[in-house]
Amino acid sequence: MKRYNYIKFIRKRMWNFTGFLICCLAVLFSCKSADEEERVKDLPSLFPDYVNVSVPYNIAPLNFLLKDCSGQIEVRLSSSSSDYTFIGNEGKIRFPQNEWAELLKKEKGGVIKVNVKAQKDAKWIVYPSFKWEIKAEAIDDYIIYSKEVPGNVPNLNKSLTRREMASFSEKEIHKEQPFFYAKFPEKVSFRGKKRGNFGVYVMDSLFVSYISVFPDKRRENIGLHSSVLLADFSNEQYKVLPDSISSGGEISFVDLSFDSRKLFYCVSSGSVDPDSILSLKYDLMCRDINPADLSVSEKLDTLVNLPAVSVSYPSSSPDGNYIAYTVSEFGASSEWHDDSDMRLMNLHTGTIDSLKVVNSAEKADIVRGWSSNGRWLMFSSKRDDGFYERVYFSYIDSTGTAHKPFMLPLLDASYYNNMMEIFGDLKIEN
Amino acid sequence: MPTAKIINSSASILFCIAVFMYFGIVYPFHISYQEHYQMFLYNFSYMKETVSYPGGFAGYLSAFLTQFFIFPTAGALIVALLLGALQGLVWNAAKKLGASGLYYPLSFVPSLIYWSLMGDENYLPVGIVAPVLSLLCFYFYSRLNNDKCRLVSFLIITPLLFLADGVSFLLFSVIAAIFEYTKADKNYKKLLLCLAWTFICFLFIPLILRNTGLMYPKSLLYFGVPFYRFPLLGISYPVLVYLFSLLLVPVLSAAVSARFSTRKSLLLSALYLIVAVSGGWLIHDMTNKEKEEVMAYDYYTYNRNWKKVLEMAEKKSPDSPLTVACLNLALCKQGLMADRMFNFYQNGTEGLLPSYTKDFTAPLVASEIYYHIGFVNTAQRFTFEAMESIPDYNKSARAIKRLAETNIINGEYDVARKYLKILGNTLFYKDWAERALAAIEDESLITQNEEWSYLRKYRTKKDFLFSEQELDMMLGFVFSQDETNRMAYEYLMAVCLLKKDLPSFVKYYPLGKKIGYNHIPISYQEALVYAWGLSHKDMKGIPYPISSAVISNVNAYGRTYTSVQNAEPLLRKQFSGTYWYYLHFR
Repeated sequence: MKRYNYIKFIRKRMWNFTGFLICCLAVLFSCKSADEEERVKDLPSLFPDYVNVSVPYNIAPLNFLLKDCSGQIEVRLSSSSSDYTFIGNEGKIRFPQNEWAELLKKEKGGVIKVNVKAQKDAKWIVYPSFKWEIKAEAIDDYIIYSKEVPGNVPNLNKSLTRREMASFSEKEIHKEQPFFYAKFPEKVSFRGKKRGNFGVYVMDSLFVSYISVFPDKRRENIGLHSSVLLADFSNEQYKVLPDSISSGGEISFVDLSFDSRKLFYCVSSGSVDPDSILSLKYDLMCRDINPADLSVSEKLDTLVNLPAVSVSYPSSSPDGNYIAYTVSEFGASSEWHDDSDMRLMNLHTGTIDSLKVVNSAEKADIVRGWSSNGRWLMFSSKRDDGFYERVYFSYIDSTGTAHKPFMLPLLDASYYNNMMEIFGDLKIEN
Repeated sequence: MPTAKIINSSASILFCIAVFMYFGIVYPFHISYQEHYQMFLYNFSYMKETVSYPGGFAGYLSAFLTQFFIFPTAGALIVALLLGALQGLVWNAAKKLGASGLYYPLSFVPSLIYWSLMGDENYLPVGIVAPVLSLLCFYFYSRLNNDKCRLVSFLIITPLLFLADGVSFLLFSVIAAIFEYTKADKNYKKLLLCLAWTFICFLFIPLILRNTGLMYPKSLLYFGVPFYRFPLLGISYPVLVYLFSLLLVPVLSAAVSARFSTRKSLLLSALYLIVAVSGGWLIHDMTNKEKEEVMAYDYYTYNRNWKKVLEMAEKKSPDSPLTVACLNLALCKQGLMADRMFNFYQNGTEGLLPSYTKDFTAPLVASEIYYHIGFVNTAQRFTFEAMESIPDYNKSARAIKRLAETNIINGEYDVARKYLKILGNTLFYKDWAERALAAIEDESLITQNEEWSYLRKYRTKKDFLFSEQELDMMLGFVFSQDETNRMAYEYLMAVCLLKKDLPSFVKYYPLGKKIGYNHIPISYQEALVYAWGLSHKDMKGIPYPISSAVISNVNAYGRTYTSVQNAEPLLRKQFSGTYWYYLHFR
């Protein structure tokens, strides 16, 4: 009896069931298959822009996001000896740390081909491949920075963060003031460089900000009544250099060569006058130093003295062959000038490379330093949104040729969307 | 005769109503002020960043509630409910420790203290949220009947509450320890065990957190999220008193209940009277009407409610630089500045274009003035500096909205997009941010926006150096780029008049011929007629169409001024609304 009722039950509902099945199939087939691919001609628009960059083999994963993509993304990294495929969601890719490190070590000196495809509107968009050149020259192990707000007067007491370049791990460290710091209570600003056991610092008695209402929001921060101090950290000795080295001008930035035998500094061509700030220019000078007694030679080398150019942020390479610096139309606060660009001068031949492949078209780029092997130039750039500086590195090969820069990698590629600070006090070290 | 229970319940309800009315009617702008200096984001990274410090969860919850303070009435209701909840939970703790209902009035003391503290705008709602969380935990804890269950709960809750609530966790652990002591017939063992565990958590959790690399100052690791907007000042004396009152009231009520018996109605009435009078006095003492006035002017200026600004000024003329600056802006926006600015108290150019001060409040107010008169970059700078000066390191949704606006006007769409995407994670700024994002993608929408297109038209197109000592130079420079810029012209004239620089006023006055006035504004007439009178015997030949009323007034003014010794009181009665009075006596 039950069995009969069961069959009757099914027969009665057969039509309903069939109809239901047909509807399901119709819905399934009405969806476009996700296997459909569309090949596009344009390279993918990534943030950070990691298309065709050169990176050190000991760098953290180059996590990125594909702009205008919120779906699944597939990234294939292939080389002569490896082939990896990684999947990400919401248009973001995050490479696993261990596999990444292993891959880069294997491909040291080689090239990794990168294929990106992204899911959009139920089909895969396949982008042309690009490459990552994995350089055999390492970058330093750590980067040190402080997070600060753009535009503030330098804060001498802020804490620093030390981050591993090969990963994203951070640790707070304390900023130690130089041993001579307390000897100059009348000085309000210190900035300089330490190279091994020696250091050079500019100290200002006054630090003023001239605020302009230029359409591109410029600000000039100027140190006045500056003096230059050379310090020997191993013997805890220092010497304030005579005012004559500035020839009556103000000194804005200083740098010491890595062998501590040359002093580079930016000096204004006359005294600073707020009313003629648009014609305030800083030239780049060089003098020899005797580290034994912290004296400077009388002989002055003028490295850069051009009519429409003001120099700031000089930084000499560790091998003594080059000096990188920033140029702008006037003043010292080149980070506030959209026209600020970097230059690379060969100290032996005097030739200047305009670093076209490194500089951004319309936004400020400012030199920050070198890796200890002299192969990686660190700079900060406002190219991404025009206001917040981000940290970049460019490979400078043995012939002095610069390669396309890459941004300091992020654990989450969208982190900068919410970050309203910049990285200040930048340094890389082992 | 109502029972004590009915009286006490009614008192609680009345208390909540009183708080609501105070913050809703008497002090609403202090409520909206709280919302201006924070930004609650609906995303994981904000939550992670906020809760990863001791007290962070309480801070997160407080920030969540504070976002609703954008509507002062909603904010008043939230504060009323929070203070009411605090009172109720304090009473619950007291009752659990054995307090008699006669001491119910004492349970209002902590709520009254914090109510009065919130008269200072820098005391944050987290000061109520954190103790409420702690006492709520005690409420549920005290309902557990099983001793072992309670012990295990105590061991688990204490460290978690420290992480979630900061130093307020002590309320739970100390009261729970005393509760265990009373429950165990005054057996010291449980009390000591609870206190020992509390001490261990308080001592070691911050150390463990510090060693895991948590970058937070030591004082904040121990005390958690601060109740006062200036965290580096540490725990202030009033906050200590408040925290002690939260602990003392339940304990004292219970202790006194056990020892003393007296006439019930007398005690209850006396306590209510004492608590009400003291609380009322405290609240009155901490209420700052001057600041509330500044906040009111700022609130209406920020919301572009020029009519409301003028209404307030008509009732009571503002006198502080910021309020006068807001009034002058409202007058200018309504086309009344040139006629009526001297009908109100003026205090020089600070009451027109406030100079930059390094704090987080004045520049935000001042940025409104600069924004509306077309100094877009100055508004941006003031806003940015104000936001970065917020002492508890919060960001401000109001400021970010202004930064987005200034960048849109300047055509810096990438930066604007960044700010708008951040605002897209808020509840009350999201819609505006979406519309603004759409405008970035479609220039015609920017052109259609009246305010943005106006500011784009009149903002400076050329470089110059900002100088607070040369406001007339800056205004003249901007005006010279477009001589139909009425606001720049009127501010330029106002600077000259307020600086009492009549020669410059007379020199610049003809520049306004393209503005299209249908009459010479009254204050300009007054200044022109006065300037003419300095070098002429009478008004014959005056080259300006001055009204007969102004001529008659200046004559009357002149007669009184020159003939009466100490004429100020007389002149104030009749001529305080004229430029001449300002010229001579302000």
